[in-house]
Amino acid sequence: MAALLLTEVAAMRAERFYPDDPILSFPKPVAVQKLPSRKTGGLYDFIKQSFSTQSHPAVPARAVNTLGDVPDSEWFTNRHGARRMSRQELQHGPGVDAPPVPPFTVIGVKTEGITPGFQMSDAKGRLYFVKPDPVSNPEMATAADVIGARFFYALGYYTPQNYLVYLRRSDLKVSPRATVDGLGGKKRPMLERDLDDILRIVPRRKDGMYRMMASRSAEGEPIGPFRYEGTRSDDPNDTIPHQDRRDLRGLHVFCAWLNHTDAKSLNSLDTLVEEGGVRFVRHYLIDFGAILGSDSDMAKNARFGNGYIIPKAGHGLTRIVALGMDVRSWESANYGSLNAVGRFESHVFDPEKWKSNYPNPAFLRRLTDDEYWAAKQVMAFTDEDIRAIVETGEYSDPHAVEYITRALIERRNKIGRTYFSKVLPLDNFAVSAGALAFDDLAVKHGFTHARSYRAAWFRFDNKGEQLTPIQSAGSLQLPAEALAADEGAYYAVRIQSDDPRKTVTVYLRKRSGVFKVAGAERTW
Amino acid sequence: MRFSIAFISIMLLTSLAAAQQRSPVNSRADQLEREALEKARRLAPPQPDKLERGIDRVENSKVLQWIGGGHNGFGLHFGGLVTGSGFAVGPAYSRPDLARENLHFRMSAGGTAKLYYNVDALVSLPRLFGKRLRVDFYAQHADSPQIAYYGPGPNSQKQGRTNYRREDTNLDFRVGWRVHPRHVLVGLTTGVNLINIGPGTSKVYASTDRIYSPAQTPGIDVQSPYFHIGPFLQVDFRDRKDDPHRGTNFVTRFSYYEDQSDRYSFRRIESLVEQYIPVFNEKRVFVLRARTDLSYAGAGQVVPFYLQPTLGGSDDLRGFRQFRYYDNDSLLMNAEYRWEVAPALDMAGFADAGKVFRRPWDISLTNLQTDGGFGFRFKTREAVVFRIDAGFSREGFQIWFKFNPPFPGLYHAMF
Repeated sequence: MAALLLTEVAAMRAERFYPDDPILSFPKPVAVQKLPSRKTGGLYDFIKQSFSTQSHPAVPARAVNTLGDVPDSEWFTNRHGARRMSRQELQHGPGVDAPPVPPFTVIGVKTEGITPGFQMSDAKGRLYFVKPDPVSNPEMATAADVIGARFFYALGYYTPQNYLVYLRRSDLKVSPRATVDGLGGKKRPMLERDLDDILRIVPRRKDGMYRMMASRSAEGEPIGPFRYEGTRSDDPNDTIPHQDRRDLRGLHVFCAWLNHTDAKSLNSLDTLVEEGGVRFVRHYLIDFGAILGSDSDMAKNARFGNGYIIPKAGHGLTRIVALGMDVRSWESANYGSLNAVGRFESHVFDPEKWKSNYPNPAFLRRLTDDEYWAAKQVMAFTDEDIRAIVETGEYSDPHAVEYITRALIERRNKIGRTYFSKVLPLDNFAVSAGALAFDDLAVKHGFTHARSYRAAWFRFDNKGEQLTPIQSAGSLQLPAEALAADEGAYYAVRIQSDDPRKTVTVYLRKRSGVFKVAGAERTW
Repeated sequence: MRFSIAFISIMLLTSLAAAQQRSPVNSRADQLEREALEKARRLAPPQPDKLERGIDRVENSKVLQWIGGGHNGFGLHFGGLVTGSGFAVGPAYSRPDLARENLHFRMSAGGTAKLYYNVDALVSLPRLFGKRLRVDFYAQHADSPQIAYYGPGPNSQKQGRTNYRREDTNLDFRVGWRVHPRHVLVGLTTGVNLINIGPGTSKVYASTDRIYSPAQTPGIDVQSPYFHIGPFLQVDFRDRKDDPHRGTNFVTRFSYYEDQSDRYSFRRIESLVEQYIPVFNEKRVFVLRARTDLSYAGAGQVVPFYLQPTLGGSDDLRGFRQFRYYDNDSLLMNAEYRWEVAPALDMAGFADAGKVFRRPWDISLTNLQTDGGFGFRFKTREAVVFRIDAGFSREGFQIWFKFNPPFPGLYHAMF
């Protein structure tokens, strides 16, 4: 039986390219039954990842198509990077709902995380998780949460619908069925007084209103967070170890861009959704209160993004011995002085050195091509796109919009410049007028000047995966042999520019008399 | 029979899967679907690993609640006795849920191997006027059999160490009003103190009454009940109370102590000011702190030695032993330079200077006792929870292990 299985697996891998390559989306998911909710303890995740001694071998990413892009799935959907979203779409973000409508009924207090908050339903019966700003930094955390949901949605992830709401105390009424954990540790009915206790430590605007972030509950039945390694053993569609998923490895670059230092398992959510009579698991990123310069209940610690909470022993010892005289660039950086921004900057930001608060196994496994894919998505955002999303933070001080927009533009450019220089960043391949055409993304974005390319052509055996060199002029023009080839024939062209280590090999397949791109692979 | 049905079922499933496996893979979509179907045949409930099970067990156990004193009901209480008494532990009973959480009751007892003990009870009304007004009733009985005494004034000698027994029975009433929700607190404390002084029980050091005369240690021969009353004011612009990085804190308290025998009545003004100055985005913090305790006794009155301000210990002159200096008045200055090693660990270098003196108008910056040292501060996200300070002075060095922030305020029990 085992031998039979091995044979079959070998047979499955007999062809490099299938006729439907490159796929743009994963097949419809297999139906699942009811799944139990699985929790991930925050302390467990922190200890496990912070003190892990696992090595991180250079394993190529999965959940990719033959071009190296990420097909649509219940983890990731190509959005702004594949097709420009309009300003309106960028600002609207996920979902089709409108903002919550008063009056609001409070049905419980927030028990997860570090910020106070509560759960409420609006006049239409929709459920929201509501969080305020810290008194020290009005507008900071609520704006971060709203902006973060829109950026990560546009990047391709499932995110909740986050709205800013401005409400008066009189808009809120505590449900008679609401309960809270009393001081005695037992559940008890929630009182209006409990809500007053929360509002007492919330900044109040001059007009007497409270500004809150209301996050619509994600579609489907929540079954706990996903983890950044392994798979969920009871989900048939979860076949790829999470640490090897390009959409999770590349998330490192997105988090670096947006300074989402709290990218951990607890800030994710799996839900069981049903579409077309099929139930399956959808994977959300949630809770963006700790992005940009915000750390939810206070301005972000300058260390965050620049080092782990538990430093390496050597680093810690150095800090002790140096008596604090070893001033790091991020310690002396200028983070501005806007309370609504918190601590966010772009001058000392280095995407290669950026770190989440504690090690994330998917981030640690990332390879250069994962970073390149992510950088492409980031570079899809124009200055105007960034400003449009930042404006959804509804900062009362226009300097805050200006500051964050400028910082995000500069951080985006650093990401593009860094990762487009680690590979030969050729993309958008197509055969046109008998020649291979492409964009050089480094040239397109102005990171390097126009450059020349050398091309070497090969005949390609799709079953044996053999490349056989053929005579060509070293140009991008398809060789005569290829033009005269039979239907279904494969050819490949290896392109390089100044650095011989950085190549892109593009595979072409002849179908219906024309060549189409079947795949691409890179070296660096 | 059961075994046969199970065996047949397994064989059937295996055959079906094998048949599906044998059909050729025609597309990438086909390949991916097969991977999902293959996994669908071997689904299993998620299993926590050893570490996760262990942490779950600890988090769900009652042990942590007991160690933390418990939310409601019985728990354990650690510390709370005078520094130098040794490790204190004892039972606690807490009821924060009385009268719909408008009334808190806490009672605890603790003792140490040196036979120090403390029993206290606190009844609080913390929610008056939307948490702006708080009223505390506090009752305490403590026995400290080996309190150190080195002689009166700034010129006392380290070699002059003696010890005495002090029994405190206190009944206090405190009311505090938050004039500004975050920054300004005013209030009043009043109460009755019964203090008994007796021979120390140390086998190493002589009893105070055998070395020092009543003239040197007023009140050692006779004690009487005290009534005390006085207002206090706090103006607090620190960013965080338990691990400040910026801002100013100013506290002052006036107290009138009326001795029932009319020999030891006095007034006292205690003032404290702290300034936290962050640099390098709060990764370094300079702290400056000054405190004075000034006593004013009327004609024919003296301050009993056991109510005199003291210097020396984990919270003031850290290079000197606990209660190293006694006198009617004290002046203390501290400076700290803190740097962050990691988010959960700060280090600090510090210098302390201070002195005790006889009369308020003797206050000056001359003849100060000085020390220096360094410390480790272990922190949660918002508070210093444990510190180790090592202080060095001309009298040697002291190492302090404390479960409180470096500079505790004047009002531990309120707000």
